[in-house]
Amino acid sequence: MTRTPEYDARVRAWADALRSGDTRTWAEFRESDAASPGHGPLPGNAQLELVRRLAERDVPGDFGALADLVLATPSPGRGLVDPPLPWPGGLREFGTPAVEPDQQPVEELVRAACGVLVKLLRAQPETRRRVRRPVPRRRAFVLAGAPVTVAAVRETLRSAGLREGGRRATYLVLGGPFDHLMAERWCARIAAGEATRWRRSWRAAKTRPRGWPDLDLPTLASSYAEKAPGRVHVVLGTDPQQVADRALGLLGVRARVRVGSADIVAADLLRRLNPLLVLAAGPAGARALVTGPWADAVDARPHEGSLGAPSGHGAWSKATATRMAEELAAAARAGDYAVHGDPAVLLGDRRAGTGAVVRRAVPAEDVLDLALDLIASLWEGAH
Amino acid sequence: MARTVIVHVGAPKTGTSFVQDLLFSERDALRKRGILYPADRFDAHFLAALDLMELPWGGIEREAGGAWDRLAAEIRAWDGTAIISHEILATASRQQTARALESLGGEGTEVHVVLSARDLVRQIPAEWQENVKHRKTLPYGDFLDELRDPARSTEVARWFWGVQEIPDVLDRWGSSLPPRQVHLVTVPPPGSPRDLLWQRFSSVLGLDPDELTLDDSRANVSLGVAEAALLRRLNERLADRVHNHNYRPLVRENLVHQHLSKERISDRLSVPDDVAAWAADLSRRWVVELAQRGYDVVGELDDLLPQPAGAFSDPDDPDPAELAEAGLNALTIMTVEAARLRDHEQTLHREIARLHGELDRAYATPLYRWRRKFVERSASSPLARRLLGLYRRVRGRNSRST
Repeated sequence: MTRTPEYDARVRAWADALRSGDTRTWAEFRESDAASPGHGPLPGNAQLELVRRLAERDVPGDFGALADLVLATPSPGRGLVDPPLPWPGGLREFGTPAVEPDQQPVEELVRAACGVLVKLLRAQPETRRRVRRPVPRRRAFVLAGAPVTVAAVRETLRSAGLREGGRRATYLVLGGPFDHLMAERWCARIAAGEATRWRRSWRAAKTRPRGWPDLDLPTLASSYAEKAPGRVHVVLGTDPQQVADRALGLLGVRARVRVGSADIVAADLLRRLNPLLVLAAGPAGARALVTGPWADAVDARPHEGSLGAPSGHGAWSKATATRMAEELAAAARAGDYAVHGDPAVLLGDRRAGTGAVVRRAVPAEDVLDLALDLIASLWEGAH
Repeated sequence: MARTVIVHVGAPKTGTSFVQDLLFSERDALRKRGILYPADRFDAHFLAALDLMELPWGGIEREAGGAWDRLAAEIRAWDGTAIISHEILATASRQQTARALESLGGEGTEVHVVLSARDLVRQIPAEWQENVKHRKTLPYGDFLDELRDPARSTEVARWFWGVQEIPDVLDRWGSSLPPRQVHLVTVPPPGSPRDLLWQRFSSVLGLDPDELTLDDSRANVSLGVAEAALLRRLNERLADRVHNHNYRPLVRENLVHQHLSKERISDRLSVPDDVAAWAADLSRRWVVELAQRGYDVVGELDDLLPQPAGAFSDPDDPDPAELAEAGLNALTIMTVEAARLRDHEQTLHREIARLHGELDRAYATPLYRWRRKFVERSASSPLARRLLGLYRRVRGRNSRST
């Protein structure tokens, strides 16, 4: 036996109820005698639960239409294949085992949400960003190091009229706690289109003698100092805002820069979306969606916290941070280049022994929360 | 519009590569006979399947955008029989199969679904080997444990049952079709005539088995226990050191397909007794279920009942002498390949040097030498820089040559 007409009719009735904003779980609803006719494939388990969770939020606009979109969008990628909903007496001997929708793996809900997000991102109206032409200034800069901080500082400096690169540039190598640098790099790579998991990015870094070259602060600073002696500054701090403020101060720029920690939850959602966006819109289209509607939706989002080294990578992280701190301190003593801030910040919380709880992976529940928030806000934006 | 569309949805490790290779290489001949195999490249249907299921696949999906819709449009425009074949289609969800069938069908079109299937005791080790060939490092024992997890909580289990659970695959693809349009092709048991499977495929695809040339050079040949153990350990060491675009030609194609699988020195991989008993029991229940559904069975349902498994050698604890021999073979193969690539590199360097020489001779005119000297001078002389800028403005475009 596979499906029964009673099962189909009850599932369709639950879908109808969810469309109208009902938030009862399947366990609560299946006890009713509701039945709706219909034909064609039933909505997926994850899609039904996704609608129920959206109904628990204050989603603006036509909720029924959003529910239809969610219910009609298959889950992309790999995962459980069509798990049925639990039904008295069981349904079938074969196929994926039944699972209560509200108790299914969070990853299945995230997967379903990703399918919906791809459609919503593509449906966003095109927005044009106004580019302000600043008054040009003679001062020039080159930035390297912590990628998220570098991006924020670069934008501020350009807005202030400074040139990037060229003759007589001041070289700034920005850094902070090593684990935070790794998190910034991971987020930046995801924003550029990669789909690498957090743990994998560490494994890959460890295969290189000195980790990622673009985070190897002493080597970067030394190579700059060879071609621009006296104009290289390594700028360190415990948090990105402190580093950015110091960098602007060194260049005599009074503009305000706002830079927070890397948005690891958004990055972990975007890494799942990246290949789907490429499939849906092609490589160039995917870039446009990430720098456009995606960035608009997540850039202003409040977030906090960074990620620590994944379990099993702590010793390498500590050794790398210690080596870099020692090399920076030695170079500063030798006058090879200027170091602003204490190189020991590279060791992060280990140094202070604060005992703060460090997350070593992005919780899937947080990713799902963000996905649901974005579905709600993008739905509003698309209509 | 096509009168008949045949969708061969899997399963993996049932001779699908052989069928696809044949259909692709003979596609022009088939077209003349009114049969469309719509593919401009060997993996066209793989890309279409990735697109249909929005399935990331190590970056290959970058080439797959819109592939399913293009394939379906070509089939809708064809007034004859059309065939689609890819084994990963087996894992499509009901929503995805509904979309696929709707995109292919239409008034006057009859869609047929074909699933080729083999007994579980041969499929389980074959799937693990396929995993290993795709860079996975999961030990065989863990793989077997994950398959038997009722919750299917790991990616390995979800994928395996998604493509190999015959009653469920046919339910997802065939529940909206009359049973006579759902065809189950069984892979004959070991020891059967070599062309029997091809005869079964031919009958359901509407082909004459004697007209098409049999060439099984691309057929997936299985690894021995020691070779599979070696490859799994190699994968552990290569992880994150070698990109997929290098792993595919060097390891999967050259080392595995071209050599280790053809020059096997160790026993064929099987399953331990407890797994064999569990698989046999499950297979018996599948056969009972399938017999009730009224599908068109091409072959015998009993072909799906496993034969007694041979002696089991554990790839997680391989014979050290065999492993060493397999390792030496692999080292030899890779050294020969490295030497070949090095020779090729030197040939290319000589070619580059020759082309540089030709370029230099072409540029060795007094006027060119004077212009180059002037551009170099402009880097340090403000007057030369101004003159160069004036020249470029007058000429109306920027130039990198002068």
